[in-house]
Amino acid sequence: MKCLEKIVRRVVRAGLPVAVLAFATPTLAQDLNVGSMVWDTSNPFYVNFIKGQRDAAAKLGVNLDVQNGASRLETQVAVVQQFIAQKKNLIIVVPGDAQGIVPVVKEAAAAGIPVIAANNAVAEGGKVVTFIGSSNEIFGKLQCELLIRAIGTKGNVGYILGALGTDPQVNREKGFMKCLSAYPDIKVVAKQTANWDNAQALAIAQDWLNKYPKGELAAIVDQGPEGVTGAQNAVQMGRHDVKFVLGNYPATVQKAITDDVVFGTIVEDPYNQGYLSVQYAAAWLKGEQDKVDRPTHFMNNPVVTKENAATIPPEM
Amino acid sequence: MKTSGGDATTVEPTAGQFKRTAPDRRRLSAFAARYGIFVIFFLLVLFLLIGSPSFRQPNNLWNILQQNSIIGVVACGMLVMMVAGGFDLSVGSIGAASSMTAAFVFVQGSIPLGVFSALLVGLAVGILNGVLIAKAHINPFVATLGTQVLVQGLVFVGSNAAPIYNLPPGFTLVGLGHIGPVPIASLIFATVAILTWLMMLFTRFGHYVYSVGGNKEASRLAGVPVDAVLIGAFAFGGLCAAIGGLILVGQTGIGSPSAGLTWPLAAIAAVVVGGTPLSGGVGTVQGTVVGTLLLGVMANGLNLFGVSPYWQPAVTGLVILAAVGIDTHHRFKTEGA
Repeated sequence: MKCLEKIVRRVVRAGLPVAVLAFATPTLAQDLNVGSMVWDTSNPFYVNFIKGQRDAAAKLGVNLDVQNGASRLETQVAVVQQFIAQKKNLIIVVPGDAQGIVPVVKEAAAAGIPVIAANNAVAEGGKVVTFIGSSNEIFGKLQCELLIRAIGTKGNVGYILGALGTDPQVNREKGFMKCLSAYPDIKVVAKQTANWDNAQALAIAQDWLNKYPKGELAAIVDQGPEGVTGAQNAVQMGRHDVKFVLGNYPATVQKAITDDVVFGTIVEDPYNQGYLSVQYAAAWLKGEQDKVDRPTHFMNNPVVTKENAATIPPEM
Repeated sequence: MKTSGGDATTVEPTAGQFKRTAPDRRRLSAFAARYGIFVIFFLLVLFLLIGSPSFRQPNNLWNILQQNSIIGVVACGMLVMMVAGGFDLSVGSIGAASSMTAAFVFVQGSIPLGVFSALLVGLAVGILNGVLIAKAHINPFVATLGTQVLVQGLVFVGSNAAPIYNLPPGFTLVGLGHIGPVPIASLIFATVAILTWLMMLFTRFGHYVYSVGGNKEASRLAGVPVDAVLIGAFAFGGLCAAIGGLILVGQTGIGSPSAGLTWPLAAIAAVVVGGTPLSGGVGTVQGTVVGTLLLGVMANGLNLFGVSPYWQPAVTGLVILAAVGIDTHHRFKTEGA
């Protein structure tokens, strides 16, 4: 019996420090539990965005959980609420609706969980650590300036919109129209939504090219890259008189620019937006808050035309 | 009661006999019930031909055919499934899966193998739908909703949700090419429509589809192989969705994992507007073709007239309600008289 007591005492003495150490030392992965809600993971733009997030998470030891907001506000809200219930250390939001996401961002703040907004901003009222991305309003303004380069200060323009009500659609249009107001001889004669869809953009471009014969339409501007199919069709129809100015920069648009099918586009760099969102999340959680640009980290939007298309790799 | 006066004898209806309606009015009602949607389509086209110089340009009319070829092909498949008494919510996912499969194989170097693989994918998912409905007795709504989500998920997993670019440019002939003035996509639509019409009217399978849709149990008792017919109908629907996916790859030059999201409702709308009820047993290919073109002509007209994108959904909804409402009202009056 005394022998047994000795053995038990020795085991406890040996094991106790280990147990104390295990409970006392925080596990890094648990402290870097980050949830990322992307409003529509099936949108090709976010493929490279999420890749950037995952690469940063792997490098920095972040336990990243990416969830799809399915293009529906109620799903985006539900995902963030789920992250709150799971007690994530930090939440990254890429909202489809800057205003609609505000209440649940407030909920996260009330639960003591910091929030970073990426790619699309959160409206006033939703307190975030920082916003990483480009300003959609500036994006629209850059498209307007590219249009001026393409056609000069006079001409009729068709304007293809993204999915109505989304932050890029609303704010790119705002920036574009504000810039265009300084050029009264440029008239937006037609405006339709293609819902970021190639086939819809093709149909709209075809209809406009029929409605406006040669000389009556100087350009078609598309908020997104889906207008590339319409541009290819225009060239096939011999409508070289219509210049196409697009937004974002997938491989098809790069090829179209080098082939003179599209005049130019504005780049958004989704990979680095995603990477930086997780990098800032990690820095914030590790107490290195001076490494986080606040209240915003605006990223540059390079302009791509035939002159530099070969040197700028596509976004996706 | 007979009365006689002078040289003539007249027979007047008694209180118990019903009045006969004028033959002209009855014939007109029967015509409207049968051809109502064609008349509405004709009137819409006439209105646009008169009201819009752009609409009546030959290029525009060919464009309408090309733009609606995908939904037209998918709607032919949806017609067969709806006549059989079901419908398929997974046609969009099938289109996306087929387009991604085709794009993947095209990039490896073989267009014929890519086309074959895409059609095989459509057929396989269609058969799966049919088996779930016929053998597992799962409601078509639930079965095809499940396969829609399953197939979409598998496409995302397989492709990392990334589109496939750099396809061989030759295949865009299918989506954007022409033979003379006629778009190749429209020729594909016409071929599928004609084959569907022949199948439904002149083959035993087609007759069985109508029978099963009309009354499944009576058909079973009469010796119709109901399960095989349902599986066949959904397999055909899957094949049509795959053809739609191939035309989409031809039009866009991209394999897109999120393609086809609006196809299920658009195809069902085209079939219903064409006069096919959701209850099954009834429906025509020509009605489906007209329904597809009516929706396409309307969208084209709204674009040409510059109707605001905020108003377009509302106008489209009103026209659909009006077109289907008038058609259904006439059918009800004729069948109920």
